[in-house]
Amino acid sequence: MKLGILAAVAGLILLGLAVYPLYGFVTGFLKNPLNITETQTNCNGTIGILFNITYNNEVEMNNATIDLKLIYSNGKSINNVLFSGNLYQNETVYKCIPAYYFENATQYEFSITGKIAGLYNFNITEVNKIG
Amino acid sequence: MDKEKIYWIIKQIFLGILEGIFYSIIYVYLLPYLLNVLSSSLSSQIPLLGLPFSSDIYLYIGLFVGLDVVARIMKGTIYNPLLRASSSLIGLLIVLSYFNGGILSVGPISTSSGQVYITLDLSLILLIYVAFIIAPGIIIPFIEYFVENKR
Repeated sequence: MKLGILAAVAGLILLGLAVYPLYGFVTGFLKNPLNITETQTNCNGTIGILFNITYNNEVEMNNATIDLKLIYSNGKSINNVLFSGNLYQNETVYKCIPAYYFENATQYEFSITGKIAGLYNFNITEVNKIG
Repeated sequence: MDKEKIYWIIKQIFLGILEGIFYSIIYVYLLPYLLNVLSSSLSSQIPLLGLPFSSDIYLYIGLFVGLDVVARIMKGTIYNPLLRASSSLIGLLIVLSYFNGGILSVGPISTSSGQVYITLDLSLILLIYVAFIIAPGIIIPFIEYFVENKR
C-alpha cells in the first residue's frame, strides 16, 4: 500500500511538471494565436506575397517548421518551407513568395509543426480555398 | 458462519463497492472529462461533453465494482492480486482507447479564413500515467500477496 501511494505521489508530481509547459502553451495560444499577415509586395523584382508571421507564445517551440503548401487544379502541389528552427516569443518570420506560385492554385495550407517546450509534438494546419 | 465473519464479508462488500465507484469515477469519468476540457479549450466549437461513455457507463461501473468486491472477499488468495490487477488493466484499456494512444486530434474548426486542424501528442503524459499510476496498480498487488504469504 505504501509503495502504491509513493508511486502515485511521484506520478502526480511528474504529471504536474509535465503538464505545466503544456498549460502555459494552451493558455498563451488562446490569448494570442499565431499572427499571420499577407501583403502584396515586390519579391526580388517580381510581384509576390510577403508573409509576416509572429509567434506570440511564452513557451518556446523546438524544431519548428512553418510550411506553405500550394495545391493546384491539376492535383500537383508545391511545399514552401517558410521557417525552420526554434520559435521563441515575439519571433517574427518574413518570407516572400512570388505571385506566380499562386496561379492555378485551388487551395493553400499553412502548417506549423514543432515540439512544445521540447516535449509535445504539435501541429496546426489551416486549409484555405482560393476563389 | 459466525457473526464476525458475516460482518467482515459485509464490510468487504461495502468497501469493494466504494473502491469500484472510485475507480469508475477516475477512469470512466474524470480522465476523459479532463481530456474533453483540453480539447474544448483549444476550440470553442468543440462541445464540452458532460459524460463520456454514457451508454457503457453502467457496464464499466459494474465491472470495477464487481472486480473490487470479489478481490476483497478473496483476500489472502492468489485471486486477490489477479482481480486487482485486472481492474487496473481495464482502467489502462479505457485510458488508452479514450486517449487514442496519446494523440489528441481536433478539427476541422471553421474560422473566418478557412478550416483549422490541430494535432497534439500527449503520449508523454500517458507514459507517466501508465508508469507511475497504472503499472504499480498491476504489480503491487502481487508484491503484497507474496510478501504476506512469505511470513
